[in-house]
Amino acid sequence: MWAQFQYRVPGSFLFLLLPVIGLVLTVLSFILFIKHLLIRIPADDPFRLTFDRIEWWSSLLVRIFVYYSLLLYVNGKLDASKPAYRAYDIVSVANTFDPGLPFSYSWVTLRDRQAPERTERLLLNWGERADLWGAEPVMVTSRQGFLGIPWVAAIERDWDHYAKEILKYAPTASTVWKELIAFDLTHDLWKEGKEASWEYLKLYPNDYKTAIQIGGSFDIVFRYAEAVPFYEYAAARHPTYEVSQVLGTALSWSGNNTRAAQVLEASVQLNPDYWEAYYHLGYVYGGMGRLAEGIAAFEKALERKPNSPEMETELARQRQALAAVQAAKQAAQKRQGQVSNPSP
Amino acid sequence: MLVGYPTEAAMRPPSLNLSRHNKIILACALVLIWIFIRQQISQMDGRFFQLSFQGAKGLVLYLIGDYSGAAKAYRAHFQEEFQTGKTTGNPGLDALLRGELTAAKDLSQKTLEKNPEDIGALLNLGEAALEENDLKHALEISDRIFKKQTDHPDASVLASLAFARSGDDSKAIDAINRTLRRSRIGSRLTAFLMFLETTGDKARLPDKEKPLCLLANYYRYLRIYDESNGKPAITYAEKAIVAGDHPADAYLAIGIVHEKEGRPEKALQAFLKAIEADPKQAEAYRWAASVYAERGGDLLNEYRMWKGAYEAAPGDLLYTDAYVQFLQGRLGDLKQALTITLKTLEVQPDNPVMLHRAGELYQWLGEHEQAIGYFQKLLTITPKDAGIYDRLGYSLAELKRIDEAVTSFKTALSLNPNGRGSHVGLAWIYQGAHRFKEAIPEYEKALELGEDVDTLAALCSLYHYESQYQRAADCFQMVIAQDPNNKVAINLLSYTLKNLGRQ
Repeated sequence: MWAQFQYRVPGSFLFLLLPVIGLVLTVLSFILFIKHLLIRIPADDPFRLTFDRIEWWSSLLVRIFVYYSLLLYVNGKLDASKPAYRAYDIVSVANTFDPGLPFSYSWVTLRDRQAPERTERLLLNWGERADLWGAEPVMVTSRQGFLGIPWVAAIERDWDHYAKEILKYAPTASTVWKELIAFDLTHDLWKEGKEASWEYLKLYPNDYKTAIQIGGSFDIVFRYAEAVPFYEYAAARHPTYEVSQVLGTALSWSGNNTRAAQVLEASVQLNPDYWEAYYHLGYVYGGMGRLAEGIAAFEKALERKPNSPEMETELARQRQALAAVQAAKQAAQKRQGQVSNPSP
Repeated sequence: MLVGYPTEAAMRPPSLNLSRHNKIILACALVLIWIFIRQQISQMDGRFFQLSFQGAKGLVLYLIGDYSGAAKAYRAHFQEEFQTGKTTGNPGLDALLRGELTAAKDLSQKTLEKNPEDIGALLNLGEAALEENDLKHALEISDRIFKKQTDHPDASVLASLAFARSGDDSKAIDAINRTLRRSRIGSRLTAFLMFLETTGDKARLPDKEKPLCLLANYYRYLRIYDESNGKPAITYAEKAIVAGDHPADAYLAIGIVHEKEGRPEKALQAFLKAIEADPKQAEAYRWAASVYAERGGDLLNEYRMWKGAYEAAPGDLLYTDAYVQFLQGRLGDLKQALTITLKTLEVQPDNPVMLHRAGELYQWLGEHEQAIGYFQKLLTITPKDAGIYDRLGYSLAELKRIDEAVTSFKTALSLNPNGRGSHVGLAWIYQGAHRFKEAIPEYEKALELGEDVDTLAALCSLYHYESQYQRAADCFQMVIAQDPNNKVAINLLSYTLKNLGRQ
């Protein structure tokens, strides 16, 4: 049953199957009880034979159900497919139904927002039961499945739709804006998320912390270039050492080492005794091929934070690279000298 | 057989001469009666069960629905009990319970001469006035108490009874609703008995004279002491709606009984009908908002309801504060919340709740100078509030007034050594100043006082910065187990592992 909730498959099949399974389990329990009472009845008695036949077919059905659940488990557990999102409105949330299993279950009927004539019925897991209500706009996350059986991973409030409804009435509702932004940035709605973020920052310009959080949401999915403007925004309103570090790092990871170096060098002035800016500068200079400066930066960082195998490794690597560059230069100069010297 | 010994049949206990079939029916009936009585008794307040003849009489009369008779019997019980020396600690109230009105008034007057603010003494006088049917005086006293404490539950009950006895049903309903809207009830036994008696008297009136909606609301109040009063409350409310007697209040009573008995959707329908019947019925908006909040966070409808409550009663601080709390805490509409708070402060400039809200809202808006101003004003009213020092410390730190911020958090800790927020505040300041050795124990202490995954992540990062890599790695693992998407943990753990040579 757990697999049926966790890796649920859309369609009506399950809703036909579950009551049957419930009934079959009840019949099996009843038969076990009766058989216990009929222990002295001969094995070839027609009454007993009928019971045996019912038991056999019931057990078969239960076994098929268990194997089907295992199949769904494998299909969902090993699934690495990209999630797909589809918007629905809740038509109704059904009351809990008890099929005679140790679990009760409830389901939701959904109307596709793009194709309103289409409705779907889905099982609800425990977390969703308490949170969903009639007419709520929801987003259904589905995946392709490891064995090619599409399954539904989540039914959650569609903040992209719902927040916009609320914001029509309360346009300065910051929590709703933040929910909208967080939803968009975790549901592949990057453009919408960015637009909402800037709208929010226009309304609450002092909220540099949210700007940093938005930047972090882009960083975590490796969209560093998109994180940079939010960190820049935070740095302009709250110019601290810490903000400079996240900005410098995002600039570097987005490939803009020149600007990253400027930001980090400026941050050194804010706290010359701390190691972090030198540490980032070590990598930035290294990435720009300014190995001597990179080495000097790592040395300064290690003076301030001695026990750091990571920095020691990187320092050694840059020293080695610098030595190789210098050796190559010398070799080139040597070759150049040999060529330019006229033969006697 | 020896003469003189009883026979075996004679030794058997006397029994009813019933057939087996009838015995089974009788046993089932007894079990059902027992279940019914047990069910009825289990939901009744202890005050209904008094060990005396009058107490038992009171219970029987109450159970058959004669509330005024029950009140008289209970009063006789307490009269005997307090005449034999039992005391409530309030001599005036003891005299009232003994039925000595003159003594009660004299004792209360003497108390008031010493302390004119003594609410207990005022209530004694008010109840004595009510007993003497001096309704005007009873209402004057309740007004005097309301000036000291808005919605004081005992004073609200007193006022409601005075209005009910004077036939002003609207004000009687309003007064009892004022007691209930803050989820508080009257604490005085004397008032309870008068309430029970008045309910019984009103219920015994001829049908055409019955104040239906008032009765619905009085039964709703009595439901707190005995859940079985919910049913008559709904019945009277339905009759009141049909009769056009305060239909909005009647719908409200129905809704509240449904809500208390676990039928939120029926309750919501009743609240919406109450609003339809009277768009100024602020209490119905408030109840509807709470139903919307509980059914999975229906923010939009909840917003409509809180807004409706505030607009229906803009001068009522209960709805204003609830609306501001919703705007601030649930919707995050800081600008709207601030506008309403400042508007309220124009009328009540020293209201501590609104001063606190104004400070918080300015803080959330990043306007820390204004926030500090409000918190400092608040400290002149409540100087021992550690939470305000925490708030102050936070804004001072944001303005880079670090020494003042540290002092503020330390003052908070001197007032409340177990203040989690104060430890987090200090840790945050030390972390910002890269004083990690001082920040770590503050975070650790905060986590001892209460778990929080973000505080734990901050502590892990400090272990990392202090080169305690193994400790940091273990700590980050704990964070990720609790919050798999924690950005601090995800970002720093890979570097921690690098330093441990595992990556």
